[in-house]
Amino acid sequence: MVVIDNESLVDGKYAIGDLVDLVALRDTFEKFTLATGFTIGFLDHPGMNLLITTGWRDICTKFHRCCPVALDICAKSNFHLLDRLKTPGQLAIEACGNGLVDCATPIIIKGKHIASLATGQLLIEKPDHERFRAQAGKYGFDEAEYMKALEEIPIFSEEKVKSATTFLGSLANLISELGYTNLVKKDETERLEKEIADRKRAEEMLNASIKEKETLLRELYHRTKNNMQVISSMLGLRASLDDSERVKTVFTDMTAKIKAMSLVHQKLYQSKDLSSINLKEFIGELVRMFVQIYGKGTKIKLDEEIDNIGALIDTAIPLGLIISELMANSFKHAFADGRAGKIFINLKKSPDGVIHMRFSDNGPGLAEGFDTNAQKGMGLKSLVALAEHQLQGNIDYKNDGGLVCTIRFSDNLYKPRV
Amino acid sequence: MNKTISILIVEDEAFSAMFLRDALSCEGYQICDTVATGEGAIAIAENKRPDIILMDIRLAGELDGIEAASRIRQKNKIPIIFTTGHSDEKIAARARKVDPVAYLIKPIDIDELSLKINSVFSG
Repeated sequence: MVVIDNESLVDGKYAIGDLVDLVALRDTFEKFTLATGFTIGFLDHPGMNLLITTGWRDICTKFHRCCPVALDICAKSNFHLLDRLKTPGQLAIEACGNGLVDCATPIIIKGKHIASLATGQLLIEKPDHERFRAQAGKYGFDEAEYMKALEEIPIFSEEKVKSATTFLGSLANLISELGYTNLVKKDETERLEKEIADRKRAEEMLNASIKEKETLLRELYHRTKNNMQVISSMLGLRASLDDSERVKTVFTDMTAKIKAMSLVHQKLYQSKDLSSINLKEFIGELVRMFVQIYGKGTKIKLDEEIDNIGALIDTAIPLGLIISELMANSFKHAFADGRAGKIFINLKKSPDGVIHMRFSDNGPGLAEGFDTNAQKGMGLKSLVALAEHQLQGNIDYKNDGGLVCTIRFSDNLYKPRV
Repeated sequence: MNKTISILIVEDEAFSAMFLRDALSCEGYQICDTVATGEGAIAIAENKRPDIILMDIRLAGELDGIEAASRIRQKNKIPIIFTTGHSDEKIAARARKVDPVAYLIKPIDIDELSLKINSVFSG
């Protein structure tokens, strides 16, 4: 395993193997060796670890690099050859300490000499056989085998060597540029990955915070609803202690209104978005609740036609109070004697965003000459105030087989609070 | 003194508006109008020129009470008393820029409100 120290890294983190495809380079170098007979050595720098070798001669692999003394000479020669390479495209050709010729050119990425492309293990003139025989004796090589290995060393003309090394210099420049491009890509990828990770972390924190706030809000709605129910229960208890029918009626009306508001809060903490509630569900439950409050023992038939409309708390509360008032009115006046009757509620939203509510009963209706402006009680005043002031809508009454009350209002008065 | 002071009540919640109208009327003030939106408040302030405006901050419609008060006071220096259900410092800081007479947190104490109103006109 090649151990790469920090000095062999660009920006302290990228080795040459991280920036270029060593498998593809090996394939290219093998083809070059096959076509030209020149060897290739691709080494990192300054570690000088061999990353790729192609076409290497036996004289080096089986003799010089197998003998500690010859290997030391080889290493010193390599250091001398490679360590002086400083600029892109620079070529170095020199004889090695073991009698062969080596050539090298640097791979420089972002100003750092990170690797070297070398050829060598060649001769540019006939070898001095005596020298090699002496080396065989000195290093303890089998002379016949060593000399046979020497015979396999090609002798290239100096011109051919220069031509090959010039080609390798250009190739080294291309490798350097490719490495730099990949370095920029890696840095950008790393930056983007960090940004994505940071955003993901921020999103997770945000989601956790939203979830926490949703939980708090649900809890708040829940507690508000519970508190309203406690108030309603206290009023009910107090009313039960009083014999006066008038007092009981006042308390019942108050209880009904508090329960209407309480139901809005219940629907809010049960809703998905915590901001709006479904009016079909809300009104359906509300009118059944009012039958329980006002119509115990009566034979009132409820008929509802309510669209699936979402409404904010700011709309649902006054609407609930309006229905509360209308229902109370029907039970008190239209079906006062416990007679059977029918209450019909229709709620639709037109394409222009206007909500139309039609409430009717089949009681005796408004008395002849009934003047809404002359009414002194809270009931009608409340209805008008809720419909016209709070919902900024219109309210109309008429007799049509009983009381018919129509309210129209827009649901875009308020922006969502949460 | 009270009978001569006319008040515009700007409050979107119907029962709160009814309560303020009744309570302030009982105190002897003249309620010149009750509106639920900032846009309505601006129109009434221009047409009826109340002596003082009781302004809720969160309102129906596009304008909130602070914005409505700011626009009213750019034209007429009508004293403003803000009322709000929230004691949020950011909102209070915005409200202070309109130079209100007072900034009251709901539920409103009528005696305190009355004192604030009278303090404007006592000098």
